[in-house]
Amino acid sequence: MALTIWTEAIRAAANGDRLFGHAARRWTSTLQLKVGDQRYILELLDGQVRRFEATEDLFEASDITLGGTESDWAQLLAEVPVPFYQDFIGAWFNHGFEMSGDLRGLFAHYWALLRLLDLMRSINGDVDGVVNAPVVGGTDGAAAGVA
Amino acid sequence: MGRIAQVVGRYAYLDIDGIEYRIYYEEAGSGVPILCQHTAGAEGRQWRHFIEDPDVTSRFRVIVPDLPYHGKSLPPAGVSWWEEDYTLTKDFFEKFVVAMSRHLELDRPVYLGCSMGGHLAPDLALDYPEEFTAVIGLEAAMHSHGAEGLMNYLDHPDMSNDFRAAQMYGICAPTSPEAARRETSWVYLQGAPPVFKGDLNYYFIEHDLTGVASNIDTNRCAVYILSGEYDYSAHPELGRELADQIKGSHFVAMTGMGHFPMSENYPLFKRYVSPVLDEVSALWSESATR
Repeated sequence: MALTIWTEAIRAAANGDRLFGHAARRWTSTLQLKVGDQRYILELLDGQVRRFEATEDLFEASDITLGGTESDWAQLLAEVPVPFYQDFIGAWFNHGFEMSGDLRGLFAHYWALLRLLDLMRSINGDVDGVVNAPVVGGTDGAAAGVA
Repeated sequence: MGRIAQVVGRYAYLDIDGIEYRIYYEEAGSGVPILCQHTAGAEGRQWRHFIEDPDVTSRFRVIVPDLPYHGKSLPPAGVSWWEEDYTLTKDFFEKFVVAMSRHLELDRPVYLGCSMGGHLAPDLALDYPEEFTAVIGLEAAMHSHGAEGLMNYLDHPDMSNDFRAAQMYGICAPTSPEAARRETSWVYLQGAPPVFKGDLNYYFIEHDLTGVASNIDTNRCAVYILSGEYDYSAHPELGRELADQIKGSHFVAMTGMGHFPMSENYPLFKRYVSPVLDEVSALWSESATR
């Protein structure tokens, strides 16, 4: 089964999370997440996730790219990741995961990225094996990506 | 009187290559002297669980210095240090540990270091085998080449200490307790930005025992290497490779551990290091009775 990225639940969780809010303070950027063949855009405006959704627009610009195979993301999102998938830098240096673009901006807010990963893991764990994803502080529970 | 730790902090005035350094160190316990070395860009508070563990201090005299420019050890007076880039060299690092031991008149102490301090363990065994009964390298490795490209961003003006702290949080094991991982990263929020980068000159670039590790004589100085499963900075396989090259050395794979055993998960670290402490204690006692 293909990996699902619960975009709306993640967006809502991030915007309601005090740790993410603090870590992402003053961060305005557009991140592209490549999950296998799927692409997602995550737009941050001053620490708020304004948009997180799948895109098929090949011309959509981004400042930062985080990319890996579905297997890479499945390992990153595991409740207890195997060695070196515990964070993005570990995956980047050891497993061929892509981190590119505005790395200075990314690393300046690396706490925020780590917290986002925590939230994604938590939501991924919550919905593991569940057909209908629960909403985590969100509005409609919409999940993008392939199921 | 309320609860007070048995740890005492003092300053020692060390002369290294004609320059006087005022070195802060903490000490607790009695018995086998053991010098504990902190990691790059950090300071001795990383050892606070070890130095307050009565199972350790009942048998060991634990001494934890802050390197110059780290923690409470200021840059040396009388030197225009601000006019130079801070750079830690192997030569200075080794001389510092040896000078600390001699200054305190320690009798062939045990050396215990982590990360760059772990890398120094086999370097000391190679270059100063008569000074130490044993060296214990946590996250010691043959080398740590490959991530030098990060160094220029560790003191980049666009990035605060938050990056260093977050990066260090990321090389802890995901199963280590959250509070301990946060405490580990907290120490990295405190250091002067050029110091972390300067320390990595030794850690990333200068330290490399390829081709010479086999020259270490464990009959003169015992060598123990402990590597964390989740440490992607000092890879466990490079720790094992190092141990394989040192005849008579001991290797311990620490499952469920990251780059900072003594601070990210002390209870688990204690399980791994206790048998090693038993052995080095016996070695020290044997050599003391000769």
